[in-house]
Amino acid sequence: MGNEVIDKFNIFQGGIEMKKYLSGMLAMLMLITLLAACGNPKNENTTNEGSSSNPKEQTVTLDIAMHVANVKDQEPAMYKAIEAFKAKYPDIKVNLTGADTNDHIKKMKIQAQTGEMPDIFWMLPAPAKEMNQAGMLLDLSEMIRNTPELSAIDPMMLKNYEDGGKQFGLPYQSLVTGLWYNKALFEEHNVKVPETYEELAEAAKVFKANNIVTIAKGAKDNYSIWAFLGMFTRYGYFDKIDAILAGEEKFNNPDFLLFFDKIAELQKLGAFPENVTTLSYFQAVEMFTSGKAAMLDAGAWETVKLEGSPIAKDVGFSWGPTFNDGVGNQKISMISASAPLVASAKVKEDTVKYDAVQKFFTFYYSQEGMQIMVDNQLPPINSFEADVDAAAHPVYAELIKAMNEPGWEKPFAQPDLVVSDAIGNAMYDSIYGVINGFYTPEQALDLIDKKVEQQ
Amino acid sequence: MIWLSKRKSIFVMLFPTLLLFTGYIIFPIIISFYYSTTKFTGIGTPEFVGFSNYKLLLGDSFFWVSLKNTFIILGVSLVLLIPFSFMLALLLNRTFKGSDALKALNYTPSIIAPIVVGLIWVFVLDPQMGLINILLVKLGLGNLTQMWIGGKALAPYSIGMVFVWQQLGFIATIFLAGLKMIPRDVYESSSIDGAGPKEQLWYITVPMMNETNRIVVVLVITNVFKIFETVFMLTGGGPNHQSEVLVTYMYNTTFTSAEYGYGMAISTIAFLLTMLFSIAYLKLSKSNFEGEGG
Repeated sequence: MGNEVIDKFNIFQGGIEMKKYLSGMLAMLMLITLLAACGNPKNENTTNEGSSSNPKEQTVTLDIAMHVANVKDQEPAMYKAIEAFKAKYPDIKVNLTGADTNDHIKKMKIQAQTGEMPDIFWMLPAPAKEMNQAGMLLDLSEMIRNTPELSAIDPMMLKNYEDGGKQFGLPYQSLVTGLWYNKALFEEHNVKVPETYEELAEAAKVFKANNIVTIAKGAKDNYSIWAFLGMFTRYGYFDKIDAILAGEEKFNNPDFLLFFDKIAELQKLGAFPENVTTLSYFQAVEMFTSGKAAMLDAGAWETVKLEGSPIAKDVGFSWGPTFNDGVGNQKISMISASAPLVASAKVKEDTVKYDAVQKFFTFYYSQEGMQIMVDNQLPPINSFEADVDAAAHPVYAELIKAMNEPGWEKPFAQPDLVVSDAIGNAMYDSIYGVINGFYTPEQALDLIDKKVEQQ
Repeated sequence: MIWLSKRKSIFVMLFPTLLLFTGYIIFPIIISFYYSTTKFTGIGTPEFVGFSNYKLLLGDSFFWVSLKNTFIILGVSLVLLIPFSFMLALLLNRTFKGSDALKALNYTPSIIAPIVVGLIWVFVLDPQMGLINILLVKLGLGNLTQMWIGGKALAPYSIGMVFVWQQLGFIATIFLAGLKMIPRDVYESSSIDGAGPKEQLWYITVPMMNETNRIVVVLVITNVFKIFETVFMLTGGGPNHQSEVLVTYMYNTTFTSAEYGYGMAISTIAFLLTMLFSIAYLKLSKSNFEGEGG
């Protein structure tokens, strides 16, 4: 053996031979690395007997991945729905995992490239659409047709996750966003809860004079602009966005400029926290719950937190101001589909797993599933009648009251969810750029246009 | 020893390192360069676009801001970190009561995770709740309060200061190791010849620390171009990308905006700049040293 080694290394006697050997080794190394990277991942069959024509007799494990690190604490409705589902279907095991939103998205993208996606997972609309176009997601159209619980979902919400004739996702939750407000502060300073922009501007003047923040916001989390996205729809966003994305129109147009002028005006009036640039969204929530801010730009997901805060009994919910120079219907309530739940296309290859996925979705969108949502103070996705105990859940009652206000129209989607991640981020940057006082309205809109051009 | 010096033995010993180096350094560099020539959102097949990502970078104001900020931090580090850590090393090179404890204490910031460093300094630099501005107000110097972070101008300088604070002990320890390597008899001979502490510092210590200096400067350059966690925690690159450095901007572009190809173009530029500056400094300092007859 020792002699063999010595013989092999005799090739190192000359420099050229060494180079050749090194090149050979390097090529081999690259090949090994490539093979490792491109190798077909092990196609794990988590059913105990593989696919079968009789799914009822087998146990199966569903892999579900969510966008929060601790599903039990951060998405309690989903966690409880899964627990109830497991209790109802003991033969179906659920492997629930969670990661922080950014990490989760990265993980799903990497797993998509290696073909190891979980069976069901939460995804942002733009990358989910791309996954669908790459054939990675299960087409749920047939499942919806065959399941009354799924076909009962609001068609407008379902339309958000339809592309190329395929239904690639189902709305995870109702995305309800707007402005939470502190009634006590409005009463104390004799200010009317604003329904129009003029009233909002007046309120900002009074609150500024009394050292109270009008709208709590944190620019450190640049995505926290939900109420402003809602206001954006009142300047004809959905009338123009297709033309903008097609390159026939610009973000920097007279209508959008009017809206951005309003944001700049609010900034000048001191409507936002002085340290908005260094505040996070979570600090903004604290600012509101501690009674230092009159309003909070957020959504239904804060209901439980607000219920547990000292101001719970004083909290109201508003869709934000209407504008007398706005475009189209001003009574738009931001109730839309949140990011979707999607299923891996591989599920289709295993009848047992497909059946389990169908059962899970059926349960999640059933009346039983909706009850779990309501119990966790989330707005139901499907039509659901429930009595809300306003004494026990005053904040949730306010939210449901706003959702049931007559005369308000739901938009197609939340504006940032119909564009790519890059354009969505440019929208966040531009709106916060004006709120921070860094950009003029024109500069802010040009910023988005530049990103659209790059796409 | 003869066995060790044989070429085949050298290769056998180097192979594991070479394997790891190729797998974890060279290969990712090649891959990231490849992706920098594509348009890719992280899903599906990358679309080859040649050098258009690099062309876009030229017109991207945020890229230039991140580059400018990286150079500001580099400047702050070279101006403050190297002289101060050298002075600290000179101090620690002496034996006095508590010198061992001081050596351990001085290294502490280096062992704190950068993400924690960022968090700690938020509570110092924040314009509203930060220690500095609160102290200034309490001392009646409210007119001196600044937007240390969260404004348009000072954030990169503040990040530079945090970086200096974090690296000071580490760099001082390297200098200290260099100082320990200078033979004592050189100092003794110079004392006999009548050299005082100042002359010894200038004519013996500084020239004999040349190799250490070179290592330290290269380390500072590479570490500055790698800064990520501290900035991410301290400002997140904001507001509105005003405090981005190259790596945070690359991260935000790649993972937040899902522009993988564009992000990889930024990382390629960061890599090339680090190499360029490090090699240029090494060449320059070597030729200066040789020119001085070193």
